[in-house]
Amino acid sequence: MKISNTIKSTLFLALFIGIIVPMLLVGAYTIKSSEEQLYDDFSTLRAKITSNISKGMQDPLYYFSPNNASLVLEVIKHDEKISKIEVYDVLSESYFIIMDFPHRKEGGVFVNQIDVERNGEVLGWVKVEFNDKQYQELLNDKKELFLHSFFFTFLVSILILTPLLSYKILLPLKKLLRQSREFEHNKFELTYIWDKNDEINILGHSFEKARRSILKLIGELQDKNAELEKLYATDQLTMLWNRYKLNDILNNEMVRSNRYQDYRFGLIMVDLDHFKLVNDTYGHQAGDDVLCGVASIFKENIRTTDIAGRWGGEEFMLIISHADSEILLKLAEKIRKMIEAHFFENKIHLTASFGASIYRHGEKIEKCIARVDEALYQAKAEGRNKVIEIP
Amino acid sequence: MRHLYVQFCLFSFLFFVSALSFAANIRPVMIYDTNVIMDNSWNEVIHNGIVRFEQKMKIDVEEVNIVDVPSFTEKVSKYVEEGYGPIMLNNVDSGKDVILKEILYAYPQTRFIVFNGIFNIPNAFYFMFSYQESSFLAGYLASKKTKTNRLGFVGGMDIATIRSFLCGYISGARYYNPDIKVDWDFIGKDFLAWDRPEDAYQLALKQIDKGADIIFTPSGGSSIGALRATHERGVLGIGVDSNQNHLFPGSVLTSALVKVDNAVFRALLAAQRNIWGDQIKTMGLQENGVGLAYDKYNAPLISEKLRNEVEAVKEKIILKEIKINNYVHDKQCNINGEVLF
Repeated sequence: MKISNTIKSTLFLALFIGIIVPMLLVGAYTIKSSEEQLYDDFSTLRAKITSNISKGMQDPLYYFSPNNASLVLEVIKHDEKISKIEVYDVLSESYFIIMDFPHRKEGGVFVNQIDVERNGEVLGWVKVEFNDKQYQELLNDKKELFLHSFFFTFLVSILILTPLLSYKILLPLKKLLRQSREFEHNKFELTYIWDKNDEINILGHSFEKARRSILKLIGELQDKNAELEKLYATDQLTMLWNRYKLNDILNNEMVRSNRYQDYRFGLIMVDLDHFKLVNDTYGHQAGDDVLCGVASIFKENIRTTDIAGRWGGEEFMLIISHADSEILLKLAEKIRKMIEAHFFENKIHLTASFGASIYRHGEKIEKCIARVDEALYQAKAEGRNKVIEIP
Repeated sequence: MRHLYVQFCLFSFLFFVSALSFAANIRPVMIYDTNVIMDNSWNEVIHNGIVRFEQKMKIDVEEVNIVDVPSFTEKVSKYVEEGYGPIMLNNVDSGKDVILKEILYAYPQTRFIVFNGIFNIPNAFYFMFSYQESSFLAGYLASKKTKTNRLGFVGGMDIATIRSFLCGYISGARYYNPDIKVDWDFIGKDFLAWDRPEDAYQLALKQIDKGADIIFTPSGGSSIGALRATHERGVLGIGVDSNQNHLFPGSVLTSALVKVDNAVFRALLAAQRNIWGDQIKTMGLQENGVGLAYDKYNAPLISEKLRNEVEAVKEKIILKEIKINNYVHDKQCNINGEVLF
């Protein structure tokens, strides 16, 4: 399943929004209020300067004393905030002072104008033009400072929070996700260690416990299955493979031989001669004992790669892998002799007839079995206790 | 209680006296030292101020011409004794300082108003104008406009105030172009120099022949002659005192204004209200006492950019970033360490 809107992106989004938005709001508010404060101060200052000039102009205007006016203005005119000073004389209807400073006309223009009064008589007015360059620079400095501190704080927050979040949440989540994926795909081999006590660890630990339980269950199930399979495939008397299992094995051998051209295998069918007599003479228990004894001979004399099974009644099937005619005959002859020489319980002595054949590439396994049957039949017909091979 | 009563009476009396003195009866007289009042220059500006005062305050102002120097004291004394006051005088000649001072000291009860001069005498207002400041701007402007890098100057009477004009003019010209050449001439050493436009014309022609293409002519009633010369020769002139731009439209670059009319009006007003203040009143660029004239007649000659440059120089003068010798005070013209005169 593709993962979208991950917790990781949510976390970082939350981090981003949670840090940036409040800081921006605070910053904007701070700048706004400091701007207001600055311009309030500026307004007060402007009113004060204008008022001071007005007061300073009272006597010079009254006495028409430009020299004294110049003295008053000498300091003020060097103030970079002031871009123009006009003092108008209403009595002579002309300008008493005009100072224009074109190079200071930067930024916003603020004009303050008040009357010059002396003892209640209006002598003229003062008009002062200010620029807010200094305040803009101050404000820009503040903005810059804010941006720097904002950036720095953000960086520090990220530097602190990222490893913390990664270590506490994101990496465990990733691990949990991997674990659950393996669950999903029925892989239970890997062990995950959850040794902390937070939510994710507890969840992971539960997963781990479930994994172990499942693994145990699977083990039990497999054991049971093997047992069942064995029960299902084994002849209960001789403990050799039964006919169902033999059919399975024969089919497998056929497929293997057809796939690997140099792989040959052979079949030997064994039938005990006059077995009915044993049963009739010594009872069924004795017959069973003989069958078990024959099975033991088979087990002891075939190679580990060969298979021995009970085909039915007193008939047995040997599947000999990596075999040719010679090996097959040799083995059959050896086993025939052993049975002939063997004395079973109650001194019972009997012989067996053998039919053998090598599987031919490409043929159906039933055909091979029919051939072995045919050979066994011949052996019986030719007097029993005999090995007949149909190549 | 009685003490309070006396105090009350005393205050009432004082109030009465001050109320009386507020609207003093005045009989002002302006004494010109040349024959022409409507000279398109200095005298005419004074006259304009007087007319403004007469119209506004409904008080007549006598205007007379006394050109003859030997009888000057006698004639002025006659006006004093007839009860005229304030008495307004032009002080244009260093030789006349002495005569004026004698009159002022002789009649301490009479109020005098003197144009040009820096004497601190209690019964007089002395008006001084920072001619060097407006002349500096005129020189700077001329220096930017000239094509021959040679400027001319035709002064009226050879006195300290006119040398103050000259010093400012050269300083301004050299402020823009340190290598610029300035030729200067004075019309004469007597009062008549203010009233000889023909001489000014000849001097201007001489300077134009030598290569000057802008001539500044602070010479009162004579200035019109020099301006005519520049007009005829297709060069530029710079007028003086009043706005002379309209006299030869297109040929007058600007005029170095002296707003003596405002001074006249204000001084008469102070007399009428019986106000005394400091005696010396210096009016420069920032006091709106001097300046350059900009109007429709010289607008085609001065671009917006050029005018802004001149305004920037003006700002520097007001802020004293540019220092110019005032010849009346300093008695010398020192430009960047070189003493010209």
